[in-house]
Amino acid sequence: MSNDSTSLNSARHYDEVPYPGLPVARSQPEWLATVGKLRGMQPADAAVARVLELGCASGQNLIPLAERAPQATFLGIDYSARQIALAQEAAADMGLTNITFRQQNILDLEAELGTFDYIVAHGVYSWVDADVRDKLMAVCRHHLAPQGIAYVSYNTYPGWQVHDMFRAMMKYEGRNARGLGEKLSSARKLLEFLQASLTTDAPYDALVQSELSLLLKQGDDYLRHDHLEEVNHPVYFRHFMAHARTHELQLLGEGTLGIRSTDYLDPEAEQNLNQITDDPIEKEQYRDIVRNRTIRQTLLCHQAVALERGPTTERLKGMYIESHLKSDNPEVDATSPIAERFSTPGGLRVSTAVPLIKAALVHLGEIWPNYIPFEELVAVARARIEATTDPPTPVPPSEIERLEDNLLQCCAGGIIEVHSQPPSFTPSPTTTPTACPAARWQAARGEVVTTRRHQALRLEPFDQHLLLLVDGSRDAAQLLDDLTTAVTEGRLAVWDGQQHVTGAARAREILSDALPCALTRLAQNALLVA
Amino acid sequence: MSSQTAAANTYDEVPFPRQPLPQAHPDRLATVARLFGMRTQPIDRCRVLELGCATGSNLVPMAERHPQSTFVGIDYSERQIAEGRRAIEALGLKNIELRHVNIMDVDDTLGLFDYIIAHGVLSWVAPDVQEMVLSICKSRLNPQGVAYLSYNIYPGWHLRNVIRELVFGGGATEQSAAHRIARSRRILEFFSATLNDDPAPYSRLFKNEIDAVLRQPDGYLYHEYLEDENHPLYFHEFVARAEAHQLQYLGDATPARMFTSNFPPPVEQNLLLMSNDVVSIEQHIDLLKNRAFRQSLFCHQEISLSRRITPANLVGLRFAGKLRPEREVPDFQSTAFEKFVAPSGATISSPSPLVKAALFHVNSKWPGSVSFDELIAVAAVRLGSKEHPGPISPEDLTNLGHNLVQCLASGLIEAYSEADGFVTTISRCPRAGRVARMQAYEGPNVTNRRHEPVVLDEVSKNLLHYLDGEHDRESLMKILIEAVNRGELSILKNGIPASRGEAVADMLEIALEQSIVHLALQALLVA
Repeated sequence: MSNDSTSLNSARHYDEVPYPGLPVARSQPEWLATVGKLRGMQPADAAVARVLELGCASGQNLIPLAERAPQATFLGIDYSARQIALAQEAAADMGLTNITFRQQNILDLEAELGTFDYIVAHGVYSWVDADVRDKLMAVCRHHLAPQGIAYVSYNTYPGWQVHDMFRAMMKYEGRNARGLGEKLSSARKLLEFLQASLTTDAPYDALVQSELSLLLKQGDDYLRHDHLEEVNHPVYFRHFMAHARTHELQLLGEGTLGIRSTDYLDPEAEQNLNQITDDPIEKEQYRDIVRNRTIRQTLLCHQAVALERGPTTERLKGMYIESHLKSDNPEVDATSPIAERFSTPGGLRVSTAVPLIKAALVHLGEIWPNYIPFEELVAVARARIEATTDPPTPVPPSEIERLEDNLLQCCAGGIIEVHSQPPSFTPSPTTTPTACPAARWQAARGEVVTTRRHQALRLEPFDQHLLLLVDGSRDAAQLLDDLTTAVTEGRLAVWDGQQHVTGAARAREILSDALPCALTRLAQNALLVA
Repeated sequence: MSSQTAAANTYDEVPFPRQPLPQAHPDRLATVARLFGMRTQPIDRCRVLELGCATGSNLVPMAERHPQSTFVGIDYSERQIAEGRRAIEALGLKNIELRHVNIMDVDDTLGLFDYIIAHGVLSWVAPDVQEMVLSICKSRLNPQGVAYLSYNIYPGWHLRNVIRELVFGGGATEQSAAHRIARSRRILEFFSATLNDDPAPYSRLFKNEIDAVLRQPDGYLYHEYLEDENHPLYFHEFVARAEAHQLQYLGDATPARMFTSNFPPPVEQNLLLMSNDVVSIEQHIDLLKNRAFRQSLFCHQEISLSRRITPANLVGLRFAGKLRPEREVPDFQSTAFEKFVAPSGATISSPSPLVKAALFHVNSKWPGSVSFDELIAVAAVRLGSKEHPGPISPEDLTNLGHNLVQCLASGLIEAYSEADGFVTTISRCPRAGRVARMQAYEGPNVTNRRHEPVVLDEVSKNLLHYLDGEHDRESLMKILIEAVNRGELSILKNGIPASRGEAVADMLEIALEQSIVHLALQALLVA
């Protein structure tokens, strides 16, 4: 996340406290392509795409993508010289040749910038002045390929109304503060004052308290960036879209697919909403206001692109799907007509008694974290059911259609994830496991790594240590040797109950038990490439 | 209320519902100023200016009550000024003048004033007009003068801005006001219904706000949410703008809102830790109360105010309050604690015989007010006898003063700088003020002599117009019976209109007595 304000002052702020950058899963080209395809676009293959990030900070979002897709090219732009220097250093250190970082003001971007299949601007729009916001939209319009997709995230109302209050009052409290340190401490004093004083059960007190409980957990970086920054410009969704339209850009989708049931209000409210307006943007605006939405991750494409309405089973064909589903009943029998319930780790549930559907869901759960092409899953489920009779009884086409519809509903319900490409990680470790190089580079420098799902993950010390060793040169036996040595040399701590283990024999025993699970865990966390 | 350019038309099209503003009455302004040590001009011979006076609904009752004082109102809505002038002419008031003037055109020829009122103007006009209002307050105010300014504030308006965004839409200026109001109500009703059972704090708070707007009349909804101009700000920001015009924050028009002592002790302590002056204390109070609207008093910067209210500041003031003793007959003699309860539920307890006797007397005089001296004299008699009033020590007096200050700070009693403009004893031929009598002729909404809005019941409405001091009970009965016979007044028996005849007369007789007592308690009788 970064800032391209024209004021020098603002650039210096970022140099003072670097914002803790994180990968943004919903901004990765693979995901943008998925949304585009489901709406009937022909977006560029993420593996060979040209990607631009505005406000790239020190490259935390872009570098793992560049490492993952060596045939694709990446350009990151940020106004902070310090952040760009850090990004360039990291890219050079990893030997990446397909990524360029430039210290530049967005306002100074010119026509020779070139054309991009994907443009990402995360956390920029709300933190810059009006001229920069407008230039950001202009860059999307002029530098996006005809089938290109832009990701722009921003702070929205009504959610930011409460933050506006915090910001305004923090500024007031810091009116006599000298320097950042005093400003931060007066800001914290305000938060503590409100926490201690708003103690009734009135809705206002409860609303402020719920925001406070989140804010007080944040570090100085967050307070500094989100609440003490000079420029902050949250917008209503309708105003953001009006701005996009003046640059001949249209709404493609949102961070989520826009097909999820959670994207809508309850059916009665949706019906009432239809009577107030038939404009889809206005409806979204009203939903934001019902939900007190705080942030949006909006996907835009050219006005000229003809978009189709929500996804169909037809458009799921050619896509990959994935789900970490488990049946509540471990002995699930796909052939029986008994209803079974399946749950995701996130607590989403689906129940069905239809054997064909049960077979498909069981298979999805079995192969996870692997993905499977949509049609292949249908074929596998069909084969499983047909194999239960001798001779096999063909499943009628109506049953197949029903399965496809049900899978589509699972996508809508968030139970199944859709991808436009096969996984860029290996679902299970090979005999010489190999970790994603970017993650290994990060693990050598800290406990937070970026997975191949493009999510930040905080590693336990053991996993961090292991990740550094799995470079493809060691098999399980060698890994065990090296881990044991690390324990005896005191570089890695292993415990036997409450007891700190130092002896090689006991360490090896414990490690050999733990290693297979740890390797599976790395695979499931999308950190292994072989 | 009025803004200055195209908005003049919108106030002609959709008048803002107007009522008298007791918080903006010069008596209130003078009282708050005296509490903080100012020496204000007595309101029975003062000069008052109201900016954005609309039809004069706020100024006209003042002009009637204080014939030796002068009242000037200006507004940019021609329709409303014309309406106000007709009323003034009908009432024969000579000490009030309403002018159709743009605030931007106000100059020195207007003269100087002891009290300046601008209610519902500042937040609803463009920034240059706001500056002009502040500049008028500075340049047209006498040295010991007080200005009243009301305006929308944050944090309360953060959420109300969302409502404005919802209904304001693109401005849609080609549509009629009526159309925009109807559309706004549809949208707000959608949100009220959708958020109905949502337990999230935001949803509860937002639904409360929306429902409050839906309960307001169209005129309020229109001018608060559908006008182009609405500029809320934080209290401290507003004070800074006034200070730029060499004006000083004097206090809130409802002084009880200024005091930290109205919070539970731990919260009061937190407030005092966060704040070191009156403005920052009140800013933090706004934050805890999510306040959305302020009625602030300002005076010249050169005035030295004393922020600690002592019993000495109460000299010359009068006190009124509805303070029901918890026990019907309190024990005045002993030093047992007795509790008094205000309609708000707020309470005060005291063991002091003098304080108990004084509070009891205040309650018995409601809605009338009593002076400090009268309080002491009456209390002394109660503690002793008429011939031998009880002894009152200087300590007792100081203690009573402190208790009164505490009652003022917590809003249990109100203070006034002038004697009551009404009577609570009922004469043979009761008389009401001319303004109220004229208002009653037009509808049920009248202004009482405490400058409060009162909604009359059917009998009182029919009666009030004839309370001119010339009609005794008998002739008033005739008037009521005629009204029933003409079908203008119906008397209900068990919820069903009673038919003509004897029974109606009996019922009317009771209703008449009840109505006159009611009007007296509503501070509507002047003799």
